[in-house]
Amino acid sequence: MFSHSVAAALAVGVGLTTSLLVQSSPEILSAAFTLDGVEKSFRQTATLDAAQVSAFHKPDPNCGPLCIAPLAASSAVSTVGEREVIRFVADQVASGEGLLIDSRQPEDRAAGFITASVNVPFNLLQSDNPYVADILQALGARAFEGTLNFSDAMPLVVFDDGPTTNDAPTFIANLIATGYPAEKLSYYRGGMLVWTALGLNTQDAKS
Amino acid sequence: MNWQSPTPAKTSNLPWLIAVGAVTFALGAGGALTLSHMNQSRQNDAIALLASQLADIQVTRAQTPDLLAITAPATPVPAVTAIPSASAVLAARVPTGTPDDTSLELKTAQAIAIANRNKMRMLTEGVVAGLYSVTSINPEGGGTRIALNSRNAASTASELEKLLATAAANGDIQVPGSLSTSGGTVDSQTLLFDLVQRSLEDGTDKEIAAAQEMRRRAFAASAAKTEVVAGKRYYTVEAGDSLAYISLQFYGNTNAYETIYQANRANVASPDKIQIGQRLLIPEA
Repeated sequence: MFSHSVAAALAVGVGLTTSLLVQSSPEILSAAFTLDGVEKSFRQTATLDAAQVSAFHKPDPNCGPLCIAPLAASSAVSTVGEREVIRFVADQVASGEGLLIDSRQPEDRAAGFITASVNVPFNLLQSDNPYVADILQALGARAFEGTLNFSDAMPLVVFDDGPTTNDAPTFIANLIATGYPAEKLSYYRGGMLVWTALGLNTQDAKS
Repeated sequence: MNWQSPTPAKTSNLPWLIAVGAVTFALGAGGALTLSHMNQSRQNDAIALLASQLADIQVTRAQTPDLLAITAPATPVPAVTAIPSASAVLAARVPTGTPDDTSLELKTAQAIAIANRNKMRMLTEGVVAGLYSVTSINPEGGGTRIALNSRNAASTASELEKLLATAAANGDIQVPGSLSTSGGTVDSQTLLFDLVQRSLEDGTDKEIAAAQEMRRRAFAASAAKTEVVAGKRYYTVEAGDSLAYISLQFYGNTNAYETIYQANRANVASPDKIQIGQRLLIPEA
């Protein structure tokens, strides 16, 4: 992305280069939202809980010497950061139009999750699960004579433990294989690892 | 698994559409097209009968002044291969009289005559062979529409559609109220879809299977958005919609318009009286 910007700027002249490099100050995010009638908020701690962060560092022994998820889960799926996740939750999840999907296994989720997320383990969407169509309908798809229509399917932001795991990209690939429109999906690659490394609050099963 | 059921609660924000709808409806109501209010099952029977005759009737436009020739397939008439021109359609225009059920059936029969049998057969055979797709297109004037794209008879399909539209606009054919759009015009695209589908539904096992596949494709192709409130699905009528087209989108065929109509009887006086911006309950299939 950056190299593209630079190349483009060089092509049209030095004058533009400076404007491309000037950053406007980011908008101030709203931290509070209401979910199912309950006031919730995002918070950021002043100091980090290193033990909590490291709990989400889980390189898979099967991925070779380096466990690093690709930046994009799929060519048509956008990768998003924390600001987009927070805005998505405050707007679309709070209004019931979208879902924040935790694609990890329940035992991984037990270590903590992002407020307002729902757990749909990635393997539930594998084609051998006879209930895939039911899950897709819960995500908004319409069914008729064994066929699905995705016009009402909800926009989803999908995350997992973070860039050292591949649950979310697998979830996204499984979902696209069912016919779910890729443009309705976003991949929060940072996942729990980056979320907690930024000192953002999490929830656990008890809270 | 900590599954929380989604609770969609969207609010419709289409007041401008309602305003446009009111104007459009007023224009449509004053338009030239008169729509019949035949008994619904009679309408279906009439169209089904005509569709079943598609495969074996041969009628020329030149010989159709006697409309009885159309509903009497036994009458031997020369084969014809060409679609009549729009002017020929005009020339064959039936003098308008008091529409009773019999003449309505005959006029609907004429729709089939206009949709030349050989061309229709070509179209339906292409559907049986899978040589088609059903896609969602963005026509002029906005919105999205389901379109039947024939690969073996593409120009035929669009010609038939135009002829049906012209004939309907001229009053040459009377179409069921369910095919009247929210703007007061006749939904010729859905009419053609309907004719192809019905002719298959009464056919061989292979043709019946093709009709089912066509239903599935139509259902899957729809870009219609709905909202679910308290477990019930609602659709907001858009410009160009007919009850038959709405049925096509949610049930893959036009027959189920009756289901939608009955579920919304309190707000819909007759199948041709849907209005832009109106919210319709769509019963589960």
